[in-house]
Amino acid sequence: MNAPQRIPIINLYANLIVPIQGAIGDNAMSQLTEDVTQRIENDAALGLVIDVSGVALMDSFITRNIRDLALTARLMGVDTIVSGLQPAVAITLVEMGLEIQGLQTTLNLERALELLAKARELEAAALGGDVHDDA
Amino acid sequence: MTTLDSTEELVDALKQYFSAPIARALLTSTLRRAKIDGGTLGPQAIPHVITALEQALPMYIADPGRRGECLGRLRKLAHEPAKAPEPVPTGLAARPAPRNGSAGASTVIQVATADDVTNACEVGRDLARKVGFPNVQQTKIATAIAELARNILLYAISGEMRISAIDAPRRGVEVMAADEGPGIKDLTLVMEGPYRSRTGMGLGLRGSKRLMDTFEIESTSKGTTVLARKFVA
Repeated sequence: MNAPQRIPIINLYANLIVPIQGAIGDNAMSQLTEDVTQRIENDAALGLVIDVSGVALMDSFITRNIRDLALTARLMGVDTIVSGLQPAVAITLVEMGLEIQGLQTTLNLERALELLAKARELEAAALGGDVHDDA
Repeated sequence: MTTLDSTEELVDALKQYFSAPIARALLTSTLRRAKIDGGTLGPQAIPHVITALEQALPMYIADPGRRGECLGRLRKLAHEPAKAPEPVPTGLAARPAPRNGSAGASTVIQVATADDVTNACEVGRDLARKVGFPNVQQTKIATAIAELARNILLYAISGEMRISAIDAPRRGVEVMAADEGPGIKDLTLVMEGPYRSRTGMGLGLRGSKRLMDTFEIESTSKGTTVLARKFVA
């Protein structure tokens, strides 16, 4: 597998979903950061979910890359969630002492989308409330 | 020391087929197993060493042709005794690395690209499963291998990993990572201190140490060798 695989980015209700599968090569990873930030801008995305349920191994390199991608997206004003960490991966990360502080995680993709929807409702309600107060 | 030492000659011959650290590790482990005193290895001992190496080599060189060639090169040494005394290799790379039982499988992987890192992880996971580690432990071993392989790539450009099934002191997996990079200047700082490199090296090495049961590291200006083991609980 020498050809750099390109990780798909799915747009669903203004949320970008990035399902990462298997081993991620270095090239694929830097390509991904480029692609995702570009799509955030082009699609005017509101949320980003990086789903890692298909990743059986996360070392410090991959973890750092995913964290950086999440932080970059957040800096662009996009709510970002990492979903679906496999149990063995989560246990390994904790044992290694790899902190992924400041990173929102959920059990699975479904919960991530729910959370994003809820955050948007709250935001809308807050905005709506403001309008009423002003009126 | 006036003892003639043939260790370096044997290592030189083996270096045609392995990286220097692996060559040393192979030789010293063979000496240990054959109960030959590596400290006073004279020319007269060479034939014994070659006989012992002949038994160990199939594990390291799969191709019979190359194996024969390697043995031929070693046998030539038996007729050309050492010229000058040389220092005996010391330290980690000179340790008896693989104490394999008869069933022990061992794979050597050259690490030079990101694909090699992935490959090493897969080899490690497969072996861990065969040895009898449960899923979470397989993941830990594969992750530790990823960290070590990644470090080779980042800091030494290239190196070698050997992943072996071991029976002694207990059943488990042994990972050896050897490179001839610039070495780690302040090992204590990297392994224990708050050090965190740009690329997260301290995290990687410390992380792999935490994931394995035993972890030994040796680093000089000529390279770094890590020997780590994890045992089936």
